Amino acid sequence: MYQEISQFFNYSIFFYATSIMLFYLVLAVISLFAMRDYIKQTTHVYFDDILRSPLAPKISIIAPAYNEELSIVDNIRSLLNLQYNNYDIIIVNDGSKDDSLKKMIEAYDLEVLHGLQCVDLPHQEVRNVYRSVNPAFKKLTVIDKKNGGKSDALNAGISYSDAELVACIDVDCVIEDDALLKLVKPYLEETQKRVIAVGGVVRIANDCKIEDGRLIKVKLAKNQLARFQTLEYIRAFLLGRMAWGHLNGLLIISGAFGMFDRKLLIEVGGYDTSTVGEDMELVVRMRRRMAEQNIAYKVAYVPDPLCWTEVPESTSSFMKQRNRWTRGTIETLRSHKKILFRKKYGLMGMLSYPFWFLYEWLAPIIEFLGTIYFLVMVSLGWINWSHFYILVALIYSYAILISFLALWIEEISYREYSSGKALLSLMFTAILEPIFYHPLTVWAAIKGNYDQFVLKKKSWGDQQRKGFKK
Amino acid sequence: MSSGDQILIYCIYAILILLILVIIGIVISRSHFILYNKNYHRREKTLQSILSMILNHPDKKKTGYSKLKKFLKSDKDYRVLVDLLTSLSYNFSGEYFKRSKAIYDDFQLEHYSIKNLGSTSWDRVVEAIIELSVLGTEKHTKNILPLLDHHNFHVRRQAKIAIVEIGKGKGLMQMEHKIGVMSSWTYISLLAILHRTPFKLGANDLDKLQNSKNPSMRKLSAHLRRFSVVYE
Repeated sequence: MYQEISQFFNYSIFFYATSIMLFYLVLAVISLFAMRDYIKQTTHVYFDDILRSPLAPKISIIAPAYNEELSIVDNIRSLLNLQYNNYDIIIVNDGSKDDSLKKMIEAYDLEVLHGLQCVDLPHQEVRNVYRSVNPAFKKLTVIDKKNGGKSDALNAGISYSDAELVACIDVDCVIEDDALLKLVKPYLEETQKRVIAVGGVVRIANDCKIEDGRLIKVKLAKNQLARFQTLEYIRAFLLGRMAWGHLNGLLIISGAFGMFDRKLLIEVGGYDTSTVGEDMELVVRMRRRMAEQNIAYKVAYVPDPLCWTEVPESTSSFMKQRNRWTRGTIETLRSHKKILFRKKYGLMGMLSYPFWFLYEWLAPIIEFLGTIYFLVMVSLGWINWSHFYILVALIYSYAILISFLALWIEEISYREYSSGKALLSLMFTAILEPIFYHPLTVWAAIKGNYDQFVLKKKSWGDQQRKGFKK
Repeated sequence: MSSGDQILIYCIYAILILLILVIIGIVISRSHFILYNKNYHRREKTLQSILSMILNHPDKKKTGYSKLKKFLKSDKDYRVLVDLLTSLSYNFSGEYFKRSKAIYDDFQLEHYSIKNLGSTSWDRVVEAIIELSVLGTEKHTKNILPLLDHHNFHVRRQAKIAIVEIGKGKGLMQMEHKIGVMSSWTYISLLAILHRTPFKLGANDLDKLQNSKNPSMRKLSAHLRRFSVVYE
């Protein structure tokens, strides 16, 4: 009897692991071809006509800011210099307790503006709306409101925007000068489908050289935890999302940098302020609306590194961040469970959602349970060690293969880490990752599940930032 | 060892082989980048200095041309020259544009562009269309027009833009019945080109555009009626 149970577990875990491995391998192959195609597409594109044209769609950049007094002035300056003709910037001061607002008022000659029209989206009370009296900063609007969290602040920004498209960003990110041009391209090119959102790639800025809110030189992070995340981001954005983007199956657009069709965003009621995974939840809700109305749509993806962000370097901050991501995923998947295996929702219902459910939410749980099961088997002396070593070798070599594949795609495409030393470090990081980093991510996900279902936690938790080196 | 384990070991071998191939791929990509970049920049630098001589000192044109002839040995060299001339001419106007275009004509580089129009690789076709739209003349419209029916969307888009870039209002009339679905990108690009260089459109032509069966053309003509110069 015990042997049968044990065999059942063995086979279940084996088939589950095999299916994940095959799935990721397929995604990697799709990404390779999609990237090759994308590079061909972008080699001979002249953006000048779009850059100068007043007919290019207006974009509002919306950036919530909370206690950002150290960097807010520089970051706004870099946003003011983006290459695009028709855009404005809406900074939402989300009840900062520091001098963020004062610094913005002083640096950009802001004055209170009265009588501005806004649409009705759920957000905390807006105290004042400021605009610069200096024509050089005419693109800048600052909204000062009571604290309500990131999604609440984004809603406030969206409601005061009059643009066709909104680009939601984290104010502490460094945005590439041509980011808006590249992000708007899929929106302008599409003729058959309505492009409802466009996602960009987020890269890691720890230890990169940044001056006046601009990326001057890309460097690999010195901190090992940040390096692990660098590799993970390359893998996630160049392998996973690239393939999902190609298949039009993206369920998430990074909260750090994404662009949305404002009309649809308002139609669906803006960001959900009750969830900690607002970025994913919004994309799923927008997709649902389009599918339910039978409108052909697309969530596009731009693999160029357009946004650079700082990642946690301490284990505790990292665990908090991953814990929140897990809770966000769970909340989104649970609140949209109706779409699972429903033909009406197309690829999202038949493939993307099941993938996220099985391999993003359940994977760490199954892995954790598998470890406990293994420990029980060891303590009972029922382990077939040769079989165990073979399995470990298989999984370990596969994990390295996938990371190396991602590095290869990076190598043939953007080659951001141009020094040979950085490439070797990333390859070495790929070898260490399954042993040191992966268990951390699994544990953070388990804690996230525990916090979600047992503690019913809803908060974001504080994230401490080291700040970009000047 | 069970047969299951044996299969797993074969899987490990397969993964290790793939891993080695990927590592080789990474090494080749990096080496190719280093070598190609070095070569390309060396070629480009030499060419730039020759072109600079021809463009800045018309009196030294003869010497410049002979240096250029000596430099152009392989197809790759011609490729670099065409790339460089295209990007220079795209940014130039007036006398400098004329001089760089003269080099394109004198060295009969249009053959390279026209040859690439028939390439099986669509990105090469797009590249060639751009070259002809920047450095070509109205006679090249006939080479580009058939590409409006190309299977690749990027080629079709670039062909539309190029025809208007070369022929302006006349180009627009030439492709009136073939323009097909127009993306916002094409629409903005066409208008940007038409506004960049003042042109006159006959009232009959504008009427023809406005009564076009193609909705994209009707949209475009509505804009042109407001902003372009119409003569009777």
